[in-house]
Amino acid sequence: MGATCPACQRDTSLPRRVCPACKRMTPKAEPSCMHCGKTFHSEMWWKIPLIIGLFVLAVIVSFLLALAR
Amino acid sequence: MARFNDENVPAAIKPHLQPGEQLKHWAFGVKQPNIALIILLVCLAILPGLIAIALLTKNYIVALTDRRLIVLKFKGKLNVTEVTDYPLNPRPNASGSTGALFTHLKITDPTKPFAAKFHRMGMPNNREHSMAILAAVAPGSK
Repeated sequence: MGATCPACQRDTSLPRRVCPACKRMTPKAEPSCMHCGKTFHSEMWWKIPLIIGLFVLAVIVSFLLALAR
Repeated sequence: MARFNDENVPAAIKPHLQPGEQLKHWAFGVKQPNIALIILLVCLAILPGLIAIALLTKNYIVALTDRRLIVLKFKGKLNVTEVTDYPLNPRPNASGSTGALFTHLKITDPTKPFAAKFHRMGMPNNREHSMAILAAVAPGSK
């Protein structure tokens, strides 16, 4: 356990993330920004569907190429 | 011109320093997905696999100051998204090694574990900076 913020009682030594809306720091464990209330989303929310889509596209392209031959 | 250099990296670290804190070394590192996942993705399809690896790779700037080891996770061109710091006194439970290309650093901490590797060509002087950081946080490492 690290130092505690006297104002909000949060552990100041824990990892923090930058809020994309207000650019201020919030402990990473918290689901929303402690300053502006913006809800954080996992950075994987668009990456995993994109990766799956790329592989599906690769399968479709290879299938179409096989059909064209 | 290098993507990162000894001018823009300290400038990105500066807002995260405490008053009077002296920046000593900085290095650019990455954490790639598990090697088994890399092999699987590339074997499935080469180009989508390489794109997936790039998307799943995390970029870090690690900074050593006179008080702390600061880990900045960023995206794009030094757009910092996460900050983690480890006090140097007491020293974090760190280990690492230096190979021909990479310097590896691993911090075993129950609340904020960290691992990354630093390519010698990651930025100018990346090798020297990463070795100095490793020597400071894990003196027994080779």
